[in-house]
Amino acid sequence: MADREQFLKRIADRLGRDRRHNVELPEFQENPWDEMYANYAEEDYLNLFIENLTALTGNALKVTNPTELSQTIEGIIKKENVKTAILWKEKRLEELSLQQALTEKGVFVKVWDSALAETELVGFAEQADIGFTFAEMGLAETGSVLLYNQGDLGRSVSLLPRVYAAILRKEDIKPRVTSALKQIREKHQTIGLPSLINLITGPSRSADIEMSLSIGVHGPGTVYVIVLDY
Amino acid sequence: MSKNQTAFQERVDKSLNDDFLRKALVAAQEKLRNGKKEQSEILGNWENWRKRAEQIRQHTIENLDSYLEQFALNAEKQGAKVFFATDKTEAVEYIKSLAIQKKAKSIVKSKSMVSEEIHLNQALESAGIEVVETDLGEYIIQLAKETPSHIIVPAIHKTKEQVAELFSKVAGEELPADPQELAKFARKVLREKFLQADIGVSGANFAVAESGSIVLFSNEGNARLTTTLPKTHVVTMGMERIVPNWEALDSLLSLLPRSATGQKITSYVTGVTGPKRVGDVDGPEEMHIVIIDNGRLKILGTEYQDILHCIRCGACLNHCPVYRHIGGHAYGSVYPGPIGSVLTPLLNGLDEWKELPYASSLCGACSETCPVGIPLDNYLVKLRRDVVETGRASKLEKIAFQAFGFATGNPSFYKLGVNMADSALKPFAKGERYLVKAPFVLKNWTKVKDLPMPPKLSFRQWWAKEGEKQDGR
Repeated sequence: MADREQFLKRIADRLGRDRRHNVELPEFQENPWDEMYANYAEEDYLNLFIENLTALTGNALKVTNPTELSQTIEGIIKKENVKTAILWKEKRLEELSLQQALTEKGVFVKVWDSALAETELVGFAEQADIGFTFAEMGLAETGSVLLYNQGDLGRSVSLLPRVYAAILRKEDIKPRVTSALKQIREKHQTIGLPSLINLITGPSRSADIEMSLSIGVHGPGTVYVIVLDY
Repeated sequence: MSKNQTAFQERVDKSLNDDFLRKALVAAQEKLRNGKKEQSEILGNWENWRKRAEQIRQHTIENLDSYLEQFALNAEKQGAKVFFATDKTEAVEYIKSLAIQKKAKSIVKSKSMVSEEIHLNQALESAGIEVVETDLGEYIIQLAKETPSHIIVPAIHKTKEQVAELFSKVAGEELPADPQELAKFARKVLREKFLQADIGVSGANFAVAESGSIVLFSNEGNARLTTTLPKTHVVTMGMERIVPNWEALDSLLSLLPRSATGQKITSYVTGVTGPKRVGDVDGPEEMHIVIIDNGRLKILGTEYQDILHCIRCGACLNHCPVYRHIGGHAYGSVYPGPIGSVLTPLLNGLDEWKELPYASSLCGACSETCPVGIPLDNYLVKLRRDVVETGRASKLEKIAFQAFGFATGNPSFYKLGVNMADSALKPFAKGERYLVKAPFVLKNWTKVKDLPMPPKLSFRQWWAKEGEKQDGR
């Protein structure tokens, strides 16, 4: 077994200097992203988000009131032939009465409650037609959503079902990944990071066979982001 | 000629005669290159981005001992176990004994180049453990019992018909040669493997020192499944994969997918910080991180140090005219293309790999496209110098250069040679203008390309005859 200090000392020796500890990256005065999106308004971020997600065959749907939200969910159920759904146990999803909305439309719903057993939840998610989560942030430049996974916010919900739907507040759409990384860093420095963070951008894809695009290889093949504009 | 050199030429010949491969490589290169070009234009300011990425890589490598220490301590704080491995034996033994201790029957893997480097699969299989590659391309070549021929598109050399044949054997029925259908089949088979696997092995695109997190880029989602479903997660990472903090990831995350495939971002960017916590339902109970040297240490402090900046995007492969012709397998190494031609001899020694620095036209396209500014073509020249200076150059090359030195050092002999060149080479020419099967030292050249015939008159002869006329005009 390699002794750690020896391993690190050898690196310092090769670099021709003493061992260093707790080095920090120097602050940069200017960044390549400083000037980007300087003239954008909130509406522009939303439009760019929709444009980029759509280009990846993702579906971005804007809703402006609870009735529209309900209609949008009904539309997804019909289009994707949804019979079963798994949901994060999450305050904002509860406030939207998502579980009731789905149940009323005949969908069998399970909520990812960390009091339940792993086999039960993973087993259900694996067979579920759709998984619903809230998203912490949306990124306009890429059409991505940011998720923190822990406890009631299970990893499998956005991963195992064939369809994935995220709910995102319009004001949480930021220009680019810079904002996400900043937030992650602040979280690390304050309350600490959860065991898993995901940036999800459109459906699962591969071009491994003759460079021809296949959708839904391991993760969900269909992705919806419902943007709440109210 | 060394045994390895003979093998190298055989591999090159084989690739050059593979029509599908050559067409596939041209098409793939064009698609990936255009994608990169388009996305770098949309991003704008490319040179500034590139400079920033290079600064961060350089700073990290120059302080690697400190950042590795920070990373290891922070990962351990989150409950991960960290193991430092000097070479492939130590890395493989650690993972193998862990697998035996866990009584693992099956292991799922997401893409990891360093695991190819240490031949992890063979070692685990020899211990009677099933290892399944889950990246679609890697799964294909595992079934075909081959090795990746491209860093990003590992099965680029396979036709859809060949893939259908391989998958049909697994299915026990005939599957159509349709990429979407084949991908669907792989999803079904591999999902079962994920659900049953005892251990998931992933690589690491980056390791964030300040929080002890691993960052994985994936398009298919197999890296997410690998780090979610099995009870134990093992990370194999080269010791240079470090990034100081989350914000420093910005330029690297902005450049890697754009440089690799012309994507703005991969479908999934996943940050793993330790195993699952109390209260988490899914996720591995244990996380082991194996930090691997395996030849990297001896590159530090040399003129080749910047090769450790590499972020494995594969852009240099996509821009290399030599890779376009011969493909990945011809290199015979884990890393093909310009990065492989430089990295392989540095990691594994020039003795076995001295022909790789010559698998280049020195056009400089690799250095120009590299998102972290590695001077690849410059390194290739330096490695050739090393080959000669350490007496490893082939006899043929030595004789040729001695003859060249003698001829160019003796004006009368040189003149004779130049004047005779045309008539001496005529028997080997195709028509008037090109040599197609030259003798002796030129043979290796004309094997892969035609050589223009020397002019009938030397410059001096031409000048004597025509020069004055021109002058008097």
